[in-house]
Amino acid sequence: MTETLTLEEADVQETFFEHGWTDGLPVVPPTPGRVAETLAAASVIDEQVLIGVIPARGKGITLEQAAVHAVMAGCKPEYFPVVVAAFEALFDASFNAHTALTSTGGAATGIVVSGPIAQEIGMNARHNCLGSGNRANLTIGRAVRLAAMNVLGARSGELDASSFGNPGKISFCFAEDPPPAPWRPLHEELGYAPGDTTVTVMPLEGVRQLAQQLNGDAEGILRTFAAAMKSPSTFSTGKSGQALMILGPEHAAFCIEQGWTQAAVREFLCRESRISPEELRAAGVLIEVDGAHGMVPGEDGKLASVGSPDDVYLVTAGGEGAGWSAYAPSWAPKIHARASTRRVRPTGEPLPDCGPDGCIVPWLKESA
Amino acid sequence: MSRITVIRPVDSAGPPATVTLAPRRALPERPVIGLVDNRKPHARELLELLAEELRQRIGDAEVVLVRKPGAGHPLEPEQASDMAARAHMVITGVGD
Repeated sequence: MTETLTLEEADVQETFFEHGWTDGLPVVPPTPGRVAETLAAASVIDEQVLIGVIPARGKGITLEQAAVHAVMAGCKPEYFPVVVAAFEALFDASFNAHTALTSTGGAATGIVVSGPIAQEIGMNARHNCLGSGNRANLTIGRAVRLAAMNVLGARSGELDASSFGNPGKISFCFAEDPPPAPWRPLHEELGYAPGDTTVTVMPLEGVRQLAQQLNGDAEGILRTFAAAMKSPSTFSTGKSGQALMILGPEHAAFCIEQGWTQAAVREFLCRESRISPEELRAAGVLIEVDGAHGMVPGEDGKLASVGSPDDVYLVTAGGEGAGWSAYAPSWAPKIHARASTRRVRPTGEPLPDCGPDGCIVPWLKESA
Repeated sequence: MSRITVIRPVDSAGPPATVTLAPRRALPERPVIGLVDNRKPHARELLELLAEELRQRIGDAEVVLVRKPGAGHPLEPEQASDMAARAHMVITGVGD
């Protein structure tokens, strides 16, 4: 049920701050008109439909609530289909939003947009794509987190127990820069059609900048990155996590020119980021015995930092420079939460013809 | 001064009512103490120490331990049902 407030316009920001409805930054007032425009951009028929629910909390987010928070975050209406897809992915059971939004580890909700809609709505995939300056990147990520705070209770003092959090909890969203052929964009690597756009959400620790500026050998570059992926201080190291590996243009070009396929890069990073119990012990890390994370070495005597090659989410982005890439580990081993992907339904796309028996479509599957 | 109407971002009904505690009953002669290991480090060891302490205070008691699938997941429904059916007292909620 939609509830409204009528306020002096000059008092709106302070009212929202006083109620704890913001992330600490000012918001765009969610007027009924702005919210309606936003809903229209995703061809919403019934704004009270739940996008998804977190069963353990008995809480969910309706399309209207998502639109309210998209407006508050500063989204243009045309961003809303991406916001909806991000929520759909977040509510997938594999993402385990119950924990991923509120754990002491302070995960950011990382959002990777892959496909033509990213470019159409003006997302940044190039210089500073993880930083400031692009409205779509910042506000799409912010909308998801704001709604998680206000609607799902993921705020300090309620359910969010983050010891530190990380800056990505305000917004961590960027577009993939489609890689040069023969590499394929993430959405195609995940099995979607070339013309599709997907949103992948991942619960992530903070971003590490990866420097490799003198070595033009792809294997050497990847070996440096694998070393970052097995840092003993990362919670998921040795416990089968996932990884977001963002190759900058120089590093991707070296790999492509030297004949590396994307599958080969993922395989190499998975294998070379394995770590022995001795290396962990040398860094002061105790090996769990009978713990939840199955820290039993494999035949090579080592433990997996990422569970499999498919747990390395390999994307290309960033701008040219001296030679930088970026990496963010999953905040926890994948037995706790995993990345999740949904296709963006473009504005105006007709609902599928399900025939006389009906069907479940992704954006309606949780509706009551 | 101009006025503006906005949609409330949160439900004015606020959070649901606080869950009431289950009624306290006298323990039978040989109570069943349930322990829920939430898979946090050392949770199991701590709970077993607690169970031992309770055994000394209560006398003869049976201890039943269940383990959550992982720290980030709730008990499986059948685990919860089984515990509710068997145990007279359940200890859970161990933090990091």
